Amino acid sequence: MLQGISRRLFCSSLMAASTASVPGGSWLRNLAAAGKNDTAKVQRVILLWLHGGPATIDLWDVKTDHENGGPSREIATKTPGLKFADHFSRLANWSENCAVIRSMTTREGDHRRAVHLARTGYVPQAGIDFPDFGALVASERFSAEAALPGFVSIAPPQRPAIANSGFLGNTAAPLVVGEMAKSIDDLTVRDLEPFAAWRSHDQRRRVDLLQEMNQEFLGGKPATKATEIGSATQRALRMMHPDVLAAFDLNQETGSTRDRYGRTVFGQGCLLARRLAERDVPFIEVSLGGWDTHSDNFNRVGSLARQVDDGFASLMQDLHDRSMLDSTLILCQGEFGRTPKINANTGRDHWPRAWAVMMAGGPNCRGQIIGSTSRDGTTVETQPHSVPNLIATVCANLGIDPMKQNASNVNRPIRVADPDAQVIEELV
Amino acid sequence: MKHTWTLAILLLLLAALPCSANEIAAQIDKQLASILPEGTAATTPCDEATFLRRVSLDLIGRIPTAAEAQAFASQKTATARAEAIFELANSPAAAQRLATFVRSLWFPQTSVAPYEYLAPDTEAWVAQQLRRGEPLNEIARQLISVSYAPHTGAGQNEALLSVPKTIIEANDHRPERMAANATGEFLGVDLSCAQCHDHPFHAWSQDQFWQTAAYFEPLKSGETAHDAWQKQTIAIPDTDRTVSPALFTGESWSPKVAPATAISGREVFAQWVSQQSNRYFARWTVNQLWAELLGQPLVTLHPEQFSPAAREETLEFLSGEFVKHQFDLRWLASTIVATQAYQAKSLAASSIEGEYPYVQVRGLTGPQLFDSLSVAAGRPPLRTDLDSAETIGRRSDFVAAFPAYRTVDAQRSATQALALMNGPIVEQFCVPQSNPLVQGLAAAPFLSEEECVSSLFWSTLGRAPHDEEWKRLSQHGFLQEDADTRARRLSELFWVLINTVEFNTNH
Repeated sequence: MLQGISRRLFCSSLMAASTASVPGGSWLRNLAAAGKNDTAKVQRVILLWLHGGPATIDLWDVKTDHENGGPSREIATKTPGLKFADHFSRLANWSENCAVIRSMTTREGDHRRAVHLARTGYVPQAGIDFPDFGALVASERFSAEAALPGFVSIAPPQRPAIANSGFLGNTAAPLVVGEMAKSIDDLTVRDLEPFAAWRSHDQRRRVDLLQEMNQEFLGGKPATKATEIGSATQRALRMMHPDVLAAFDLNQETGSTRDRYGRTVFGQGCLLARRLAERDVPFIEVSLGGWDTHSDNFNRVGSLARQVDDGFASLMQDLHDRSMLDSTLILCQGEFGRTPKINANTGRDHWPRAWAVMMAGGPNCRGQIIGSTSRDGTTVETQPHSVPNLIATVCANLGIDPMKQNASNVNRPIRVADPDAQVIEELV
Repeated sequence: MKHTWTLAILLLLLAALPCSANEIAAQIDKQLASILPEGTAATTPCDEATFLRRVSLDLIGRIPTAAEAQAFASQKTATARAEAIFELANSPAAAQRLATFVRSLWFPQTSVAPYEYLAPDTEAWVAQQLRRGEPLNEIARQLISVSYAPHTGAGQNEALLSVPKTIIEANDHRPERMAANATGEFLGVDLSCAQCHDHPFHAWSQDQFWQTAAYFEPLKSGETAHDAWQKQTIAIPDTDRTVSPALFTGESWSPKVAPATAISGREVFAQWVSQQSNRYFARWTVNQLWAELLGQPLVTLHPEQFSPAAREETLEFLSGEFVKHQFDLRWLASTIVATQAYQAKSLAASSIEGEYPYVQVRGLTGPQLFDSLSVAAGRPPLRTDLDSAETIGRRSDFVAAFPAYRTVDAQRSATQALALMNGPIVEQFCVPQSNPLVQGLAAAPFLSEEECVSSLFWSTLGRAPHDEEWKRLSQHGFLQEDADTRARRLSELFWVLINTVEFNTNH
C-alpha cells in the first residue's frame, strides 16, 4: 500500500506542514515524545482480542487430571509451577514476563452482551453509548500533535459491534486497519491515499491551498469547534505523510521477521502492532476470530492457539529487544470462556462463570498465577475477578485514575471503571 | 428568490399576529442588552452571505445554492432577513430538520446501536406532524402515551403514519427506563440518579423515581375503571417497598378521562407532561433549541453553575411565548434566529466567554454535511420520496460515518477527515463525471477561468473569493487558461473548498 508516488507527491508540502510546529530533528520522533506521559511506567497497551470466547480451559488453565480437560496437554514454562497448553511452546519461554488470571468470572453468556462487558467494563445499559477501553486510553492519552490516533484496531471482526469510541466522541475513535480482513493484503487503512484517478497527479497545490485557506479562516475565528475541525484535518494530512504510511507498510520488515510472526492475518497484525507501538500509539488491538467452538473444539483451538503463539511470542521477543517490554502491557483475552464439559460435537459452549485472561509485559507481570478454578474447571475457587477489576488494574499500570468521570451521552457522568472495581493487587 | 408574494403574506401575518417572531425577538434583544460586553451598545451583525448560510443550515439543514446565495447577497431591503427566515422556516425541509432535532433530543439512544433502527420512522412521523402544524406538546403527548393496543377511535385518518412506539422499544419495554426517558429527555429532569438510592446531592428521592416509574407499568388487560391507573404499583428492586404513581413535583393533578374508559398511567403522565402549565416542558425545549441554533444553551445545564439573570429572564419569557404560540416549534426556531444574538458576527473564542449568549461556531451534523455536499456539487437536494434507493443508501452510509445529529455534538476525527478527503462517497462528489457543477462549467467555453472559480466559491462557501484568495488561486495555478485540464482543475478546487474548515462549520 505504500509506494514512491505518495512520498514524491506529498513530501515537500506535508513535510513543511508537519515540521512547522516541531522544529528540528525527526518530526515523527518529536511528536511521539511530545505526547508521552512520563509519570507512568506503562506507556501503551496491546490487546490481543480472541473474538467468540476462547476455551481458556484449553489454553491457560488446562485440566489434565479431569475428563473435562479432554485431549489438551500442558507444557512446562520457564517459571516453576506455571504451565501453558502445549500449543504455546514459544510463549513458554516468556513466562517470566507473563501473568495468568485464572479466576475471571462474569454473568454474561450472550456474545453481544459479553463483548460489551469485556471491552467497555460495563453491561449494556439504557441507551448509554459506552466507549471501548481502547477509546478511554486514547482519550486519556490524546495529543493533538500525535501523528497517529491513540487507538488503532487491527482486523476487527465487525463494527460497530466492537471498537467504538462511544460517548467519548470522535477524537478517541479507533483507526481501523483491515476491517474484517480475510487475507494479509487486506491489512490496509481506508482512505489514506488520494482517489485512484488522482494518484498520478501532483497533490501539492490542492493540499497547500487547503492549508492556506484554513490558516486564514482559523486566524480570524479561533473558536473551539473550528479549531477542532481544523486540527482533525491537519491530523489526517499528517497521516497521509509517507512516514506514517510507512508505519503500516509491512514490506519494510525482512522476510524472516514476517515469517517469525506467522504469515496469517493475526500474525502480521501483531507485527503491525509492534510497528505502531514503536511509534507510541497508546492502545493497539489485534483481533483473531473463530473461537466460538461449539463443535470440533480441540482441532480448532489448536490451530488458532498456534497463530497466537507465533504472533504473541514474536511480539514479546521484539518488544524485549527494543527495551519496550516493561513499558508495554499485553492483554490476551476474549469475552468469556467455554463450558468445561465437552458437548456431543466435541465442542464447548459459552461459559462466563470461570475463565482466564493472559497478561504480559509491563513492570508487574512476573510469572504469577492469580486465582484458581475447581478441579473440573466449572467454578472459580479463589480470588474471583470481574472485568472492572481487570480494567482498574490496567488503568493503575497506565497511571489513569479508574474513578475518573466522563460526561456520557445521557447527561450522566460515567467512571472509567465501574465504581465497585478493585485492582488486582499482584499486578500493580 | 421571488419575495413579492412572501412579502405580502408576511405583511398579512404581521398584521394578524400581535406577537410575530420579530417582535418577540426584539423584546429578547432588549432583555439581553443589559449583559452585552462593557462598552458595546449592540452586537455587530454578520454579513448577508454569512447570515443566509447560517440560517439555511439551521432551518433547512443545508447550505444555500449558489443562486440563492447570490440573489440574497444582492438584496438591500431592510426586511430581507425576516423574509428569508419566513420562507425557510415554512418549507417542508424545515420540518424535517426540526424532526431530527426533536428525535435526537427526546430519544438520544436512537442515534446509536442497538436502537438506531427506530430513528427513521420516528423522524418521519415527527416531521409529518410538524408539517401539519401539530403543536409540539401534542406530539410529545402522543409519543409518550403510545401503546400496542389496537386503535378503536372513530374518524382516524388512515393515511397518516401511526404513532411510532419508540418510547417503548428504545427502553426495552421497561417502566423504569421509560420513566427516566420521559422525565430526562422530555422535561430535562434527571430522576435516574435516584433509581438505586437516595442521592445526597440531588433533589430527588428513590421513592420519587419509582413513583414516576409506576405510571409506566402496563394497565392490566380488561380494566375498565377510569381510575384503574391509580391502583398500578411497582416494586422497588432490592427493597420490600412498593409504590403507586405520584408526580415527582408533589402536585396533585387529575387527568382528563372520558367517562367509563380506562386509561393507562402512561397516558396520564403524557397528559401531565404536555399540559400548558407544565413548567418543565417548554423551558427545556426552548433552552435546547437555543443550544442547537446558537451552540450554547441560554441557561446552563450544569447543576453547580448559574446563568446571568437576564438569560434566566429571557428563557422564562420565551418559554411563556412558546406556550402562547401553541407550542409551535417552527415559530420558536424563527424567533430564535431573528434575535441579534443569533445574527451577530461570530466572535473569537476569547470574547465569547462573557455573559451575552452570542452565536458560536458549530460543526455540521452528518445530515447537514451530506446535504450541503449535494447542493454544492450542483445536485438537487435529496428527496426520500423521489430519489433512488442507491442515492438514499449512499446518504445513510455517509451519515453513519459522520454520526452527529446535534450541532453541539458534531466533532471530527482524523478518520472522518480522511474519509472527507479520500473516501469513495466524497470522490463521487468531486470527480467531474458525477459533479454536475464542475461538468457544466468545464463544458462552458464562454466562461472565463475567473468566472468558473467564482462559481465554485458561491456554490460551496456562499461567497466570492476575496483579493488575497485570488492571488493564491493564481499562484497555485487554479486560474490557468487551459481548456483541456479545466475539469480536473475545477474538481481539485472543489475538493479544496469542501475540505476547508469554513465549509465544515456553521460560523
